[in-house]
Amino acid sequence: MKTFFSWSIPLVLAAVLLSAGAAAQEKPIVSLPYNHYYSHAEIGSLLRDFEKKYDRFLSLQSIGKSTLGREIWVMTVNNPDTGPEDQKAAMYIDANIHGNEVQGAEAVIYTLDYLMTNYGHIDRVTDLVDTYVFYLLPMVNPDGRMHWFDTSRFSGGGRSGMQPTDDDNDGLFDEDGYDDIDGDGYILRMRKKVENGDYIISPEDPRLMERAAPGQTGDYIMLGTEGIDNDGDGRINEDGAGGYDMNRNWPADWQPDYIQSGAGTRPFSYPETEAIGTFFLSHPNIAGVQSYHNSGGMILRGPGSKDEEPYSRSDLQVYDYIGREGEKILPFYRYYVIYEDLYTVHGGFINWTAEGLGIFSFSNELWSSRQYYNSAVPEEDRSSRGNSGQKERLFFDDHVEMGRQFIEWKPAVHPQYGNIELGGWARETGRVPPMFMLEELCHRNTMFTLFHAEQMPVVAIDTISVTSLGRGSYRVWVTIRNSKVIPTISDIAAKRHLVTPDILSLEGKSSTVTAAGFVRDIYTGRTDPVENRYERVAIPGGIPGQSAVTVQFIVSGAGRCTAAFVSSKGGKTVKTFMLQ
Amino acid sequence: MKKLLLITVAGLFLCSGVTRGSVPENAPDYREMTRRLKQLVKTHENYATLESIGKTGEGRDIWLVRISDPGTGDPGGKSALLVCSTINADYLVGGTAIIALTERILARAVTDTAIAGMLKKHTLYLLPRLNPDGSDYLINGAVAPYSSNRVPFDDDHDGLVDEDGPEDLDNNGLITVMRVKRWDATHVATSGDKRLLREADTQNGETPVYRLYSEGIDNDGDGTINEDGPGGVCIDRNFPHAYPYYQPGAGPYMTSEPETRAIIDFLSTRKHVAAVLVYAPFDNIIQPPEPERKRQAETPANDIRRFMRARSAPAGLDPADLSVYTKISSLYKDLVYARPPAQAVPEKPAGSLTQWAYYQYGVVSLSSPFWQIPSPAEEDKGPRGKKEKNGGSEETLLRWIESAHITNGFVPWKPYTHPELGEVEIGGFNPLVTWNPPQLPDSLIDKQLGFIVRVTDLFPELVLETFSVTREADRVYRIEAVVKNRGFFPTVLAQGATAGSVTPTRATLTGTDFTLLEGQMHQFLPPLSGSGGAVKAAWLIHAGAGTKMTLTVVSEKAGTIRHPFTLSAQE
Repeated sequence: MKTFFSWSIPLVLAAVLLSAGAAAQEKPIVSLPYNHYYSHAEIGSLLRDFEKKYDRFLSLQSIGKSTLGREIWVMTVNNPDTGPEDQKAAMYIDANIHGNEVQGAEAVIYTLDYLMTNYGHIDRVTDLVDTYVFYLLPMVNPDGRMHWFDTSRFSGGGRSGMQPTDDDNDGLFDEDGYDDIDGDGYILRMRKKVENGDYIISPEDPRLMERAAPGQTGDYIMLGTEGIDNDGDGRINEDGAGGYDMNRNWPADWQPDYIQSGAGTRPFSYPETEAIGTFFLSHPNIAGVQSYHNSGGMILRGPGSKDEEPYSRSDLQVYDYIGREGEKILPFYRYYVIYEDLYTVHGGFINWTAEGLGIFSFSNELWSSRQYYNSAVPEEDRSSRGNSGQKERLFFDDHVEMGRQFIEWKPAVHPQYGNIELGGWARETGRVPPMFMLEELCHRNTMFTLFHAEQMPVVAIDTISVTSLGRGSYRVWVTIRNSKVIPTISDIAAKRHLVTPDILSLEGKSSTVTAAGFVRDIYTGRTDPVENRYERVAIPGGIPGQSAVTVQFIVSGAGRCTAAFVSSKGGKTVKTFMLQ
Repeated sequence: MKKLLLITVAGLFLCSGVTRGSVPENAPDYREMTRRLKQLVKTHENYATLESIGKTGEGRDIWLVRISDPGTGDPGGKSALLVCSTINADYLVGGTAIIALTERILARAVTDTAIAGMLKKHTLYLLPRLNPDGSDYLINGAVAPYSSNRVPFDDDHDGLVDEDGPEDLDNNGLITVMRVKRWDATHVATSGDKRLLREADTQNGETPVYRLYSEGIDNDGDGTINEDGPGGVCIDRNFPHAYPYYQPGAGPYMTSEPETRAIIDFLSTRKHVAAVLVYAPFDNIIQPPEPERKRQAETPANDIRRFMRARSAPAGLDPADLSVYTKISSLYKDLVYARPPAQAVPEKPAGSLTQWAYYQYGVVSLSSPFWQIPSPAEEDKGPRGKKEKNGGSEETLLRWIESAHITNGFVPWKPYTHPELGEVEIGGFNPLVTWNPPQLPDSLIDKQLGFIVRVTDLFPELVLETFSVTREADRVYRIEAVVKNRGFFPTVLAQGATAGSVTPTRATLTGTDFTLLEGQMHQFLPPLSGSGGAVKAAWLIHAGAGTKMTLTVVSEKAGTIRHPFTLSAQE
């Protein structure tokens, strides 16, 4: 804006007076600031504001309450003028199932903001909103998010939900978590100066600690994350808030806790996962899923473990197309398979949506520490091997963040350890981007996820050709075309019966259908018969991406007929024609 | 009056070996069951409580009766046995048997020494019907081969839900079989009894005659009969161990059903349950489960956390747990079956409650039919290698139906004109006759009750074998406790330790003012084997004479010991 004003006023006037188009170009692409992490209450209120402002498209609902009673908000984006919600393919986007992985919520809100602000101004945005439905769920785990906000100021706090769990088997629940010993609002690292330690202050930077080399005597010991022995059992921080992983609580390839840590007693054992499971089962139109996490810069797809079958070739073509385009949209992000490139996950959320519901699903790990620099770090600023990446982060913090993210070591008194020092990284670094880079993260991930959404099926009855076979009998070919990349029914869904088959039905007041078949070759006319229910042909494999299916009906009678195609993820389309 | 009648009928059975009646027996429907359970609990309100552990798909309560002696401590703290049945809707006998057991236990809770003794030390949870929706469908409707619950399910995946169920075409109250002479036949009448059918042996030149269909019509015109009846999820295939993903009856996903969730959630919050006994048409009592051969015996970590993680679920029983199952098996053979049934019924592997309770909940998990067709004498056994039904061939079953005078056990084939198939014959076995007797033998209820008492006798039980406080120096005391398991079960099954679902036994020292010099505030004890497995726990403390202290030992399955003591000034 400043630059804008420093230009000449006549230019502004000219723009306003002469060209509406130029004025449109200057419209902001989003309405909210994305240099701030929003609390649960702030998100609730901004979602209500959006709903009020764009009431034609938006409806906000709470699909359930978290363990601590916070609303789990879902915003539905649908243009009712272009058809009801359940007759359009829907893109589901959520975030923050791990409470501490906060920035996904801002990315989801950015998507909402971007779609609404640019509707009617950018053609592709208008098309997206008119063609599809969006379900936007910014906080799966609001309790964990607020734990990260209010309690810990520690980047690792709040991954779990807040259902009390007896992590140390002592019959008490969540009785020994982190403590802010010096009351500065931060959970930091603890170190203690001793005669014979195993750590030294790094010669590279006095803020960093290094293990003493062989032959060298250390003068510090490291004592872990800030906390005391709250329950007098001789252990520190052994039973903190929660203690489970809601992203291991979904019913595809679910394994109990002894195989998959944090899984819960059964799938959907937490109110948050239960609410979302119910939402999916009542919204079979969901055709695309994105679930934001942090961090590492990844575009993840399943399978989550070797126990699950590899994806079929035709499904992989779709995944690979979207994933590889994503690597270009998101610099520093890599398109990965969870169990091959990351680690094994049993019972993960997108494993359920992909492998248990047959929906094309991705999970982006937002933010990579490689993004601190857009080019290689100069040799002299790189860490030695003992301090992998730390020196670069300090350099960045010193020069680009005015040093606000590293809390200098300072003395404190610990009830068990005596005189110690506290110091280390603050909350908003490492796993989350620096505040000034949050907006770009939100924008680029929104672009990737909208690209994913644009691939969802759009189905139309392409042609209906009627050929007379004699007096009052006709051969009718109905061709249904899917113009997008994602099929109406994925291969895995067809094989496992996860999605109701697409149905093509034909009816007329003065006609009957006497036979039906699938036309395999429209040029030679080769047709495989349908065995029964000729007027209601089930297409269990759906309409593949960028392809068409032609069904033949033999009809006797006369007059007007209606062909209707109904698909869970491909919507409903109807066309009438005359037998002549 | 009712009781007298029962005894008379049982007397008849014992004398002549002959029973009479029709199948199913007069099983109460949900309303009647609810009324009877409420009445029972009201009559015995000191000993019994009734709770609903959840609602079914159709909104019925899943009733559970808890029985324990109120004078011997919190029923929620005593080691407990859960007895559960009618998971499959057509296994009506199990629920009826549990109601009968409940009545009998309560009637004798004070007078019978063995039962009174059991209720002093233990708590019983009795859950007659996990699937009351399914059983009511059978009790109030046609008798059909039906095991699932009533949550609508698109079995044939055609986009229509529950649109093609069976019809009682011959109006006899039973859904049986239609046999049709057709070009695509598969079966022939058996050479012995022409009423019975078997697959034609085309390899040996036999020409098939009949094609078989379930009794009903093709309601939805898809060319298939009865392929999508009401409901469709089999609760005992819906549990999350070895879950049969995407298989018929397993449901849309693991633990999708309200009944499955209700019992998992119940047990997960009642960790004092030490064994689960299921009456179902599957056995792992007479024939104990196979131990997994390759498995290494592991010593479980007894720390606050179990860092041990398995890569995958075990395929069989942990060999260390076999002795418990072998012991129970021999008890059962002694107490319940003087003459074992013709053949043991193998344990159902995939997605069952029985499997879940052992592999994930980590307790002794038993499954057996409550009642089985008596095994025929040696000379009466039919030809070998024929289709097995409840441990015998169809010939055996038919002979038993005739000798026991079960009026509706087998329907003679009768012609019928079918709207789609033309001329057919309808007949065959009553779908419930295999597992459900017309009358539960009274003596069997007593035998099964005796078995329950003996199983609870085997439960682990912790005692403080020795306890000593030694003054080592001024204000320095050594405390030693030997804790012993005098039950037969170990305090934690090997699989309970592997699964981490049974919390390790915890010995905790508390006091007004003391400092630990050696040992931990919470000492985690290893699993103690049965019949005297013991461990010593020791602490060295710094405290003044006269300090009041307490040693508490907490075991989920073997009870709690509280031992208060005072530090003395003398040696």
